[in-house]
Amino acid sequence: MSRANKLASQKLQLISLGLIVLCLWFVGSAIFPVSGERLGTRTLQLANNEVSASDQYFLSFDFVSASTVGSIRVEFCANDPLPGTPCTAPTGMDTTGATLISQTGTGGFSVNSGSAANEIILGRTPALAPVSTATFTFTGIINPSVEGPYYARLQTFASSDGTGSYSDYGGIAFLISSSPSVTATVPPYLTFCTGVTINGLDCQDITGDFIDFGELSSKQTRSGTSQMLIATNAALGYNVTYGGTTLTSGNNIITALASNDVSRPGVGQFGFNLRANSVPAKGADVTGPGLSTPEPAYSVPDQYRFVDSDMVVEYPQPDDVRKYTATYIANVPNNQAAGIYVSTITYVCLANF
Amino acid sequence: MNTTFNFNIRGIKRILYTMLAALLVVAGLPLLQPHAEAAQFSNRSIQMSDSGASGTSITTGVGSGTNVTYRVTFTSTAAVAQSMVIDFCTQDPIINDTCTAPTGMTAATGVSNVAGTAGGTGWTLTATAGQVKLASDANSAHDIVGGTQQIFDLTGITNPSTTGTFFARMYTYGNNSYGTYSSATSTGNFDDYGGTALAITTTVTITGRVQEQLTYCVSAADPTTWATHDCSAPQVAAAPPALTLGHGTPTAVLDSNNVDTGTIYSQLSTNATHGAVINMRNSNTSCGGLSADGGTTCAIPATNGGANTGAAAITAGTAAFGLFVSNSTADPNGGIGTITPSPIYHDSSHTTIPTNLWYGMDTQTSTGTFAGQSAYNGSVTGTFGSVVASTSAPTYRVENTYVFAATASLTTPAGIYTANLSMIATGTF
Repeated sequence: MSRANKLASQKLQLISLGLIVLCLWFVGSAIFPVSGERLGTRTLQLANNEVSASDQYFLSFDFVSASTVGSIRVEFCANDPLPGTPCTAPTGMDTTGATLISQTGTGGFSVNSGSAANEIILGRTPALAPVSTATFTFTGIINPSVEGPYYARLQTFASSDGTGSYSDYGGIAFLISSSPSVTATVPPYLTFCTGVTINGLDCQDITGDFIDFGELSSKQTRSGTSQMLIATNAALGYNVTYGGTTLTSGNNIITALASNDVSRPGVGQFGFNLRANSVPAKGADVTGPGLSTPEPAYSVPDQYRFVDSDMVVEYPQPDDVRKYTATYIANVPNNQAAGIYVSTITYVCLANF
Repeated sequence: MNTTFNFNIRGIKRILYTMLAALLVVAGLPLLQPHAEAAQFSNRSIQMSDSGASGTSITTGVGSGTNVTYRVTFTSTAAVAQSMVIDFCTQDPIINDTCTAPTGMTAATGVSNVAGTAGGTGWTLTATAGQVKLASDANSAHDIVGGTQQIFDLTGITNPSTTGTFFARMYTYGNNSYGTYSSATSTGNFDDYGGTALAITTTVTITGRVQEQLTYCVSAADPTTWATHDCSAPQVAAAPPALTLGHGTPTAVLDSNNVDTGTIYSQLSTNATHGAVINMRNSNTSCGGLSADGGTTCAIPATNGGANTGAAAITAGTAAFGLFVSNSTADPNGGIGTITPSPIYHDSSHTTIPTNLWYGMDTQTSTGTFAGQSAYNGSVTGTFGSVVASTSAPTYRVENTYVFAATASLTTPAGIYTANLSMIATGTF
């Protein structure tokens, strides 16, 4: 080997040695902190732990010794919380849209641009961070797309951009998991019944479906009552209409009250309302825990009416049980033709689910 | 056969001269000893409580080389002694040889644990870096009696700062003023003597990392059925916590005649120093109950008006949605710790599942830090939800039972009601 070759070989060896030393220094400075205090009382709280949710993260930790801090690195890893070791980025996690919406304690930080999808670097002009609690709240973080435990690695730096050797450090474990769901079905129902008498608020306890006015008179109002009970959980409520004819006997009729009127003995009248009346003293106001009321045309005491297909009750919401009492009156003139007068009335309740 | 012997006269002379020189050396050794009657201590040793070098990154405790105790043990010979000197030297234990005090070593500060007379009652310590002098008060009762074992501790010593062997040279004297001793290289008229070797070694540092851990799972499967007794059990994943509240077939429905319940189970393990909180957040953030319109309204509202004052009964027919959280159970297979339910979700007088439970669904508490933790508490409609259970210490395989309950009223609109409940465990490490 010539002298020139020997010199070249020695130079190469020196350069190689230098590179090895440089690499060792670099790796060492990356792994091992300069001062190495563990940050105290560390918490990372998620507002939503569902996979891939856009989430709010609350980070809190304590500086346990006063030191110059210019930046804080929060690195999210799937493998472990140990700073300086290789980090497996959580699948699907994205912190690039993170926004720091609040901070307490040693402050003045902002999110550095250019942070990776699994890290947030908070930077500021380097300043002393006293022994204190620091909190940071972020929005706009996309959770990992896979359930499981994840880790946040915290490192503080004297530099303002997360470069150089870190000083303090700490790890936090957090979870992305499925959450309970509760489902319940409330089936639709409509309770509606009619009868001469409904005992209590129970459609199972009904008596009668026939009202007998007896002998009609031009001098005295004849009257009778029936009841109906309604309840429904129809979201849009319900209405009750009725249909039928006035009292009829063959071709003879007793005039239906096409408009509201009081009872007038000696005048042909057939009508009803849904109130407690005094003339005649008959009927009852609506009862039950529900809230519906009669339509105005049928809600005036001592005022009667009979118009086929009229709506007598309407309520726009689900309603608990209501019991209505219909009071029917019949008056006839002196010359009312003899006969058996009959009317059949049908109530229809329509629930709007 | 004739054999001829040839003598190399010069070679024989060399051998003879060498033998003569060796004889002189061996014979002359005793002449080098300062005291003709001196005898060597038997059973001598100096045991260090810490062999670590001083001045390292370990500054206190074991391995730091500070505040070290040296236990000196020897058995005297026949001589009676009233004082003694111990010189610590880097070179060797040979009496009167050159002696350099070990670098970094400091003086002893006291004597204790005396078994014998040396260093005990009536004795005074005079110590400098690398040297210990002990002298009695000349009371014969305090003398080192020949043939006795002496043990005492020299305390408060800082070890040499370099690793390797160093030596102690010990000598006793008949009077209490160290005889004619003047230095380690001029030890004077000592009675007995002895040398020992000590070693400063590199401290063995063992580092183990325990990483932060948090394991929490929720399942409809009872933990008593979990094959592996933890969240990795296949039964956990096979029974996701999707509850359908109601009764009847083929479709279970809510009505006003019953309070229907559903049960799920959780298990938490964490080594978080300050424990953990479990927050529950309702997806129906406007009302906190069960909603049939995507959370706009809750026709089945949070029970008890969403009160945060304590659990209360749910009455059939009064639409309500609530949660009961049981006291925790440490899994029989190694579970450790407890997780305490929040009183909002647990009334200690109403804990019989499922017949006699009181429920809660806090929609009123303002978001704020949970006592003793960094994590937030609040209402189920708040940003981080309501703390339903918590622990202030690490736990392992600790289980709670969660019972959700609902009932409809006669006016609860027909529909399919849902709520997604984020159960979030947050450790404070």
